Amino acid sequence: MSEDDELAALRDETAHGDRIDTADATSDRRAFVDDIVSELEAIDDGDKQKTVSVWDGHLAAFVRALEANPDRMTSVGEGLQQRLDLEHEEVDRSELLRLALRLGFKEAAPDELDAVRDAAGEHATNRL
Amino acid sequence: MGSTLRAAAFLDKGGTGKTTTVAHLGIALNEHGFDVLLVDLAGKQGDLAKHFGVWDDYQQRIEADAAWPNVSTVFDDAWPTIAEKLGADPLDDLIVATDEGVDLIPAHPGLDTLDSELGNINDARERYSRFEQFLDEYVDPLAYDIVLIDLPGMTNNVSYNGLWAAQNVIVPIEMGPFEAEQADALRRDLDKIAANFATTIELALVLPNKVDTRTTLAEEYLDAFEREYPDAIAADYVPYSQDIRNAAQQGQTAFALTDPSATATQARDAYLAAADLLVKRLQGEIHV
Repeated sequence: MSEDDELAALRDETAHGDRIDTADATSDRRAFVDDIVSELEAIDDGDKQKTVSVWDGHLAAFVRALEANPDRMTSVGEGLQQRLDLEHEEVDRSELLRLALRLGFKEAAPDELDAVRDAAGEHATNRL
Repeated sequence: MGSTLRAAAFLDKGGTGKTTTVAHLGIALNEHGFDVLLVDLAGKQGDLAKHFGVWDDYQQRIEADAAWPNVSTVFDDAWPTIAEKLGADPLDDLIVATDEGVDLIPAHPGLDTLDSELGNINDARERYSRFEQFLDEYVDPLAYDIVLIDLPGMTNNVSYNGLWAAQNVIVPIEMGPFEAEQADALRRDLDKIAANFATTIELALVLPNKVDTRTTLAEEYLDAFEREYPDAIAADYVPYSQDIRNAAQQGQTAFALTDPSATATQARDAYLAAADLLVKRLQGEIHV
């Protein structure tokens, strides 16, 4: 990241609007968290799948080739874990894709991914 | 003059003339030869900047999303990183020069949510000392003689930050029973802060404001305040003056009027005397 990019990121993090802006953003986010909680409940009840699939020939070839080259697979897995601040652990195909998706969403849509964490917390509490 | 002196205008009540007091004391100090910085933490309306006719420009910067960093940014825990990346003069974009000789850090809409953001900081000392850290590390090196802070007319995390940073309070007070109660409440609050946080916040100046001496009631309250605050009360009161109101609406203080009325002249003299007294108190020449 260049100095300018870093300043721009700090600006995004610390530029505060007034309460009216925040109220609007808060209610939008609330609705999104509720949607995720509903989906989590549907998964728990067995009404929806826990899997995500993608249709991409090049990526399918890439992942299969990684599986055939365990050292590379480990290295890519470690790279993802490092970027996500996770402990280094062995990764399989599913774990590798899970980490890659999470990293992508974290980079591109950090607020939305944060909403997943909030929803998971709420969902767990609801089921107590 | 040595280290930068600080004072904050505060009373847990709106409309007592805090902003007018800060603006006029700032100019009075400037007239006495001091280099003055004013800071508006009082709310997103930008009243202090309006007093000097610089709010319109600043508001345009806010609307163009170009007012960053601003006064609310300096409370953020990322501020030291931001300041470092901004380079040699991190306060360049924060400080606005005015035509009347004082510098100003204007308010910003971000102040609106700042109170609740500060409320998320668990450690009380950290929560209330953010602004003090900012003044210590970034404003003091600029070598202003004195920093005056305008605070919200309510007790919240922002006003506590201002009180904590300044350690000296200016109380502009109108002559009425509610103000007497508020001043008493403030004194109790200051004692509580001293007890809880092992820090002392002095009542540096009580300034009777908008006094209408045509009423005997005002005279009675003046006497009562003089008895109650013999060491902190200003030597003279600021009279009610339509001229001051009109000047404020035109974006200037009474000091900028070319043909001031009798009450505006009296007000200017009262502010000059109060400014002199304030400096002496802040320098410790007079103990309250």
